[in-house]
Amino acid sequence: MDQARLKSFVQSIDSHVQHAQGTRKNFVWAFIGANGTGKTVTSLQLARAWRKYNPRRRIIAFDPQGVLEASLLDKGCGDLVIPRGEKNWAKILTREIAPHQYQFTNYLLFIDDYKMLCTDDRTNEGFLDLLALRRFINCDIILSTHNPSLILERLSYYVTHYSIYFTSAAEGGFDKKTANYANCEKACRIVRQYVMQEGMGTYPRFPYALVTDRKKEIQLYNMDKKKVMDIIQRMS
Amino acid sequence: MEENLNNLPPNTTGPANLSSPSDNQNSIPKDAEMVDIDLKKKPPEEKTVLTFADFNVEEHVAQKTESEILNKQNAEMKGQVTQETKRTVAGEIQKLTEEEKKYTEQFTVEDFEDLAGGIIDAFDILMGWALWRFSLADPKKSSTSEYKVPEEKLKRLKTILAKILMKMNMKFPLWGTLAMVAVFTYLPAATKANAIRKENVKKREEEELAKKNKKNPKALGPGSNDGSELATKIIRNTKSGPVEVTVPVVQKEFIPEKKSVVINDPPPPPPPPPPVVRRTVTPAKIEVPRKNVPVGDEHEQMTPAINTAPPPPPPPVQQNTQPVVKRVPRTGVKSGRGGKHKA
Repeated sequence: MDQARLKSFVQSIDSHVQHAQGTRKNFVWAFIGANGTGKTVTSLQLARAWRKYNPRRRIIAFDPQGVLEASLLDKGCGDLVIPRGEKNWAKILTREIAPHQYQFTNYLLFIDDYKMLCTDDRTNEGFLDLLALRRFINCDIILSTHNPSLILERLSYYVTHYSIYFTSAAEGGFDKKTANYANCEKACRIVRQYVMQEGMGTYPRFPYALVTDRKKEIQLYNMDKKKVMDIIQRMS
Repeated sequence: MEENLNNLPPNTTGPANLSSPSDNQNSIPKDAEMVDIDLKKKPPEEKTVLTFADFNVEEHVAQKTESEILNKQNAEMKGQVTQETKRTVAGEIQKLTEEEKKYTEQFTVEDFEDLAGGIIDAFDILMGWALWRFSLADPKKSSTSEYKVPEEKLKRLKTILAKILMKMNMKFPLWGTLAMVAVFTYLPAATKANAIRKENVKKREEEELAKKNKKNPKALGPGSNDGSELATKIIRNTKSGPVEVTVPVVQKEFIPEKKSVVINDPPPPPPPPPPVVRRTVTPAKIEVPRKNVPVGDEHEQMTPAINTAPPPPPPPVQQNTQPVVKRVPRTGVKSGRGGKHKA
């Protein structure tokens, strides 16, 4: 390798490192909670913020309740809706138009009620490809479900954020379902106890916990610190 | 890598031995440590960290993704523009500034001199033209060249401007080049346009003159006076007194004079004066067929109903005339119509 090429290579690495410092990773954000616990409200907040910072990009949504369609979806941005019962949706989203060139790139995939879209116990064809290629095709994913046991094991390795709401998940429901399952289990217990004691909360402040795959902390939102500490003392 | 392989000593044969000598001896490095790890023993459980805060959504989406940056870099390397890097005004300005900087850095002394020369030439042309216009000289007799500055003085001006530009380090090269290029681009076109304009002005003037002459044939000369410019003045008596009213005279169509005139030809004899007899004949009566007109005097042929001859005597009126139709005495036969008739 000649000096000029080596120099340009080093420069490109340097610039990449500099850029990478101010960047984020494409997220796969799972909202887990029972009906009416506020997961859709928070996921909508997230989608709105995403649209604010990515105004030209499209949102591809599976939206059986129509919550997103009414408030956020915009045909001008090329937003799409996945129809109910469409089994090839993931295959379509990972369609390759040329070698290493995909038809759909730079978008947010919003799946409200993941289990309604993935009815089988096996992942949809192309969904794992989509998860694996999400960084390449620059795709952020938001999915919500009622219970951690409804998340398929394979999918659990790709989820980066867990927003845990009140759920009637059985003990060990997060086992093998999340990469950071211990923290998820703890967060689930805390939220459940808190909601049973204090109630579901009021719109738009619903109590929930956020666990990420990177940080070892549990972030608690819309919860009173004193009451949480009391609950933890009682639990231990 | 290739260089390294090429730089191998010439006496080397076969693949290079990449393994270290320690591998061959299967020995442990001096700085290594031998430890015993029990897999069955569980690691001490870390304490869970709980944080309480308001959910800030934007912190999760505000930053760009890694792939976005990578794609941008790849696109820049390939010379492509991705959907995200669409052209913006701010971006274009920055790009232009950078280009301008590069452009300025590449400028040599000769370039500055050329630029100054161009500017001064353009200025000279402009000034020459302006002074020529200012003098209100006859365009047919004079030209702009009379007001041009001598070459030596122009050269001095060019040198001074080149120095100024160099000192300013071409703070506005784009403006300068734009003005210069614009002037030189439009110069031939402007010259052509000026020539065409002159022709057009001349044509228009001729057309206007022709129109004016058409309207006012008096202008052609004496003998064509039909009084078009005049108007008759009539005095009307109104209740308030006599009022002078101007009535314009209707213009007649101008017939230009014939150019060829025969001098020696005698003027044609004047036509014989018409008879004094008054005519009451309408043109329609002239078209009456001449079958019944007696041949003789031409005047009589032309005027069949004139009071010159006494009117013919009226036909005698028969007092006791009998009807031609004989009356048939009525019989008992009924007529086709009319219903019942009694005898």
